[in-house]
This record gives sequence, structure tokens and C-alpha cells, in this order.
Amino acid sequence: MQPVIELFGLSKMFGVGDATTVALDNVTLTIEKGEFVAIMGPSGSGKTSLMNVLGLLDTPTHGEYYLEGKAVADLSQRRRAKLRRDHIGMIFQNFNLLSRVNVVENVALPLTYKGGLRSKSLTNASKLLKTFGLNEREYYMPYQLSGGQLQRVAIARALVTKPAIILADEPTGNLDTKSSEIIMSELRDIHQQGNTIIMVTHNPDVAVYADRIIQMVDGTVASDSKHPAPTEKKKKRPLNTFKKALETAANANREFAEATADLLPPPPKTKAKRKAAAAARRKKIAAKTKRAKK
Amino acid sequence: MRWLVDFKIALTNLKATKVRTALTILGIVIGVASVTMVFALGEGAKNMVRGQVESLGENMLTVRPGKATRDAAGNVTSYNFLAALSASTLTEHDLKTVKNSPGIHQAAPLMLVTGSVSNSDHKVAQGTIVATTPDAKDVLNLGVRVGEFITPNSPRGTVVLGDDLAVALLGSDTVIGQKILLRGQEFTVSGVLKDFTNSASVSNVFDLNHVAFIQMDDGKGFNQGIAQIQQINARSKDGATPSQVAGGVFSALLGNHGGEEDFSVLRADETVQLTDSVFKILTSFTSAVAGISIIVGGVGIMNIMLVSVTERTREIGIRKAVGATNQQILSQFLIESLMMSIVGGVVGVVFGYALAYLGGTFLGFLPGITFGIVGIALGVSLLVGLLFGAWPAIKAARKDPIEALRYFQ
Repeated sequence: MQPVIELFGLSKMFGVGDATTVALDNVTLTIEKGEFVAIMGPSGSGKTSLMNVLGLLDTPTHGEYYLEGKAVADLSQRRRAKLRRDHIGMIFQNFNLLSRVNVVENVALPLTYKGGLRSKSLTNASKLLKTFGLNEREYYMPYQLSGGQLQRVAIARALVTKPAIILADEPTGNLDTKSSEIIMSELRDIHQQGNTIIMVTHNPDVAVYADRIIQMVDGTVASDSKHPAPTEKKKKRPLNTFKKALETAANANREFAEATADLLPPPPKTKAKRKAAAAARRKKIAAKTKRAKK
Repeated sequence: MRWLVDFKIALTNLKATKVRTALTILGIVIGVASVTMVFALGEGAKNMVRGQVESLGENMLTVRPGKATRDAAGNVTSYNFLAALSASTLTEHDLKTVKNSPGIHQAAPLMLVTGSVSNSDHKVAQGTIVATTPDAKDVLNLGVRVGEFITPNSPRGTVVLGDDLAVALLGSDTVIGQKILLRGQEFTVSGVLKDFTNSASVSNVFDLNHVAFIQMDDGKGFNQGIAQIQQINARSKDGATPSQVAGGVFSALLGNHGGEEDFSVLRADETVQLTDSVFKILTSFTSAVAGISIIVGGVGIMNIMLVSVTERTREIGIRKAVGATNQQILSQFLIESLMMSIVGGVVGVVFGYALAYLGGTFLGFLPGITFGIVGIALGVSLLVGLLFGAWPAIKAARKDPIEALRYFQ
């Protein structure tokens, strides 16, 4: 299998001097063609930073990024925009459709920037919408659609240029459970057609659809586990191996929490203890104020 | 092809904020309309002056008292108007000198006689008494409606009236042989002139439709026998170069006046040059004011485009995320500002001409329509759109896609 994405020692830092924040710390990663990768991790673990770098919206501070074998870290703005247009499809948590433009034109947007006949672009977009069962909504405006429909439109837009990778940042984050299921099965179908999908999510139920889970902590890859792509049947009863993968992810989370536990005051365990602690705090404050009065 | 798409995007966005767009366009309309109006009226004034030169004829020379100042290229820059108020320095001898100058075909004096014009019932009418010679008919291209102009054989006390004066005095412009009073003396009307549409052309001093032409001898009779000539008009021969002839007349007269340049010899184009230059100064001054209003309109465009860029930060982020290059974003916003300025320009030109025609009816001449003016007005509006749209468009193009996608209104 041919790697679609290769990252070597990728770092991303924000700020300068003492205020520097490390968002990505020496990430080395290979993603093969046709993989469905879920990136998980707590807030601030660098998931979104990684997505931004992968989506060529951001440049890494250090390290190399090969997209389909080509180094892209130091390309010009113009070349990056073209790569975004032709090789990367992006799906966002809040759909990010243009509100003043109808559905089919939203889908055709990347083709618009590619150039070529407008009628052809719209026909392509229209065909794609049909596969998502949205052909009757072609000329609706975004505000006339439900969240699930909007996200399907966004997926259609991501697919319209037949990109090498699809990046999905919390694709179900704004959706109810039912819509989430629909969106995830759409993504699974797309994956089964041979597309590479990289998805950021918090939700283990969503991560189930992926065949590889990368757990990120503090800007580094904490764990990376693969399991065979679940089929329709297996999805309902996840494989033991996949359960294990999820457990490792959960463990990593816990390990992280334990490692950083001494940095935070230990949370009181029971209600009674919390009350006692609160009373103690109040006493302390009262004592202090008395002393101050004296 | 992509321009067409940008055009459609721009149209959608402008439609989405109709009132705002309309007000911004109005700013440009006002600016372009005022520039167009000023230029059109200026052009109209120029046409009027040019018409005067043509009606004078290229070969007309005018000799006046008072020195005309000329620049290095020989163009008249100013003229001593005060000389017209003092006793004229031109004499009958000068007239002879002019007549005998090489290249001169004919010459006629104009002697203004101060005095009232009235009919036999002593009803006074507004008119100017001018004494001249029979040559004036040809030199000034005077058309005669009825009767005849002053001839060498005319008896003393003969008068030829301008069209309007004849009507005012006698109630008709076909009055031959009737008596009128000039300074109380009785004169017999021998002829009435044709109506002059461009009556200011010949002299710039008096109105030919209100003139009473008498013979030089009668004129001198009113002035203690002295010929007080305010102006000598002459025609050069066909084929003679007016400037050469004028030079000859000038040096001959300079001899008469003992080397003192207390007169000026003006060619046909020079007599209107002063009027022309006054109009030019007026036009350039008012167009500067109009130009400022275009700039104000441009600032309006810039302001609205900056607001628009901020409002649409998220849209810019989305467009960039799906692969729009900085240039594509730039052109999208630039086309929007250009559309506003061009629409404003076109409407402004139409409006400006409408205003110019309205103003022209008060000023007494028609505004001039040239491709140049329309071109300048549209060109300026295009430039304004480009110039004032550039910064907002650059700002839009340079937005960081990540920041832009995160933007909330």
C-alpha cells in the first residue's frame, strides 16, 4: 500500500519566548491510502492543529509533511491552495457552507475555483448530491436544510474534486444521534469506495466506524492501533480487538490524567467530604479575616 | 470564465445588501455626475467660443486701444481693459495705415457715440450709436434686411438700425424713410440689419441687434469734429497668413504711435482667447471641486468594502479552505467594488448630462457631448473602484484561513 500522508518529526508551536505553546510535538505518522483514521484525545492535545497542518491551512514549525509522496511544508500559498482544492476534502463540525448560495452551488464551489465549464461543474455537483439523496434539495438555501442534510451537503462538497484525503473535524459534533449515524454510515460508504478519511472526534461511538485510532496527548501520538474495517454487521457488535483499541485510548486518557494529577488539587471524592472541605475553607477565611481585623 | 463566476458572486453579495450598495453607488453617482456636468458645460462654452471665431471668419483682424500682454508663444495672456475707459488712442490716420498695410483687404472703424436713441415721439430705446464707414458692411459681414447700408453717397443724417432696435423704436423691422432722434438730432432710417444670432461675436462690446450705424462725419459732428475710434476691424486678403498680416499692421501702427505700444492687434482667435481662458479657469476650478466629490465617493466604497470583508470573514475562510487562492479572493472583492463604481459611473454620466442640459438652458448654451468626457467620467469611476477597492480586497485575500474559519459574528 502506498502512503498518502507521511509526517516526520512534525512540530507546531504558537507564540514566542516564554509564551510558547507546543501544539504538536515531534509527530511522526504514516497514513496509507484507503485508511479510515480517527484521531482522539482531550482538548488541547493537538488534534485540530494536526488537522490544520494536514489540510494545508497551517504550516508546521518543524518537520516534514509528504502528501502523496510530495513535500508540501514549504510550498507557496498559491500551490497550497491548489492542493487544498484538488487533493483535500474538508468536513467541519459547523458545516461551513456559504449561506448566501444554494446547495448545488455550495457543492460545486471547489470546481468553481478549479475553472472549467460552469454547467459541467453544476452537473457534477448535482450528480453527487443525488448519491446523497439530496437531489430534490439542490436549489434550497442552506438555512432551509436540517443539520444532517447540511453535513451531507458538506461531505458532497468535500468529495466533488475526488480528493486523495478527506479530513473531517468533528463531523458529528453538532448533530443528534440519529443524524450522526447517517453521517457516519455515509462516511463509511465513502471509505469503502476506497477513499482515505481522517477524522477528529471525541465520541467513541463515532470512532467505532474507523479502522485505526490515533490517540493524541500533549501534541504527541500516545497510541496508534489498527483493526479491520467493520462491516455493516460487525458495526453493531464491535470486534473485541476494536474494543481493546478503544480501551487503550481510554487508558491513555487515564494515564495522562494520572500523570498530571499532582499538578491539580485532588478533587474531594464524596459529597460529605466536599462539604467538609468547603466548611474548612470557610473557617480558614474567617480566621484570616479575624487576624486582619486585629 | 472565472470572471463571470466572480461577477455572479459579486452580484449575489451586492443584492444581499441592497440599501448599503445603493447608497455607496449614490456617492459615486454624485461625484461622476458633477464631473460630467462641469466638463460638459466647459465643452459647451468652448464650442460657443469656437462658434464665435467661425462667425468672425479666420481673416478678421481687430485693432483696439490698450496693450495686450502676450506670453513667449505669442498667446494673449491679458488685456488692458482700462484702456477702453480712457480716450481711444486710435485715429483716422491709423485707419488709413491699416487699410494700406500689405495683405489687408478692407478695414472699417467703429466709433462709439454716447447718446440716447429715441423715436420722433421722444420714446427712448436701449441702443448704441456707432459711427463707421460703408466698408463695415463687408468687414463685419452685416446682412441687410431692408433698404441699404451706409454708402459713400448717403446723405448726412442717415442711420441704419439693428433689428431689435428698429422694432423697439418703430414697432417694425421694415421701416425705411422714417425719422428717429439720435442725441436729439433727426436721422432718416435707410436700412434695417438682419437679426444676429451670435450678436456678441463681432465686437464683444455692443449688441449688433441694438445698434444704430451712422456715418463717420455725423459721428465726428457729435464729438467736436474728432474721430474717437474705439476699434478698427479689418479683413486680410484671401491666402494671406493672418499672423503675418497682423505683424505688418502692428509694426505700421507702432510707427504711427511713435514706438509707444498703446494699442493691440488681435487675430480672430485671439479676440475670443480671453473669454476662452476665463471659461477654462472656471472649468478647471469647478472640476477640481467635483473631483473631490468623486474621491469622497471612493472613500465610501472603501468603507463599505472594509465592512463587507469583516462581515464575510467566515465566508473567506470557507472559500480558502475549499481551495480558493489569495488571488481569487482578491479578484472577487475587487470585482465587487468595481461593479459599484462602474454602475455609479454610468448612472453618473447620464445624470451629469441631464444636469448639464438643465444648467445649459439657464446659461444660454448647450453642453458639449464628446466621447472624451464620457471616457474620462467612466475611466475615473473605474479607477476609483480599483484604487479604493484594492485595500479591502488585499485585506480579504491575506486573511489567515484558520482565523477566518474560527470567526464568529
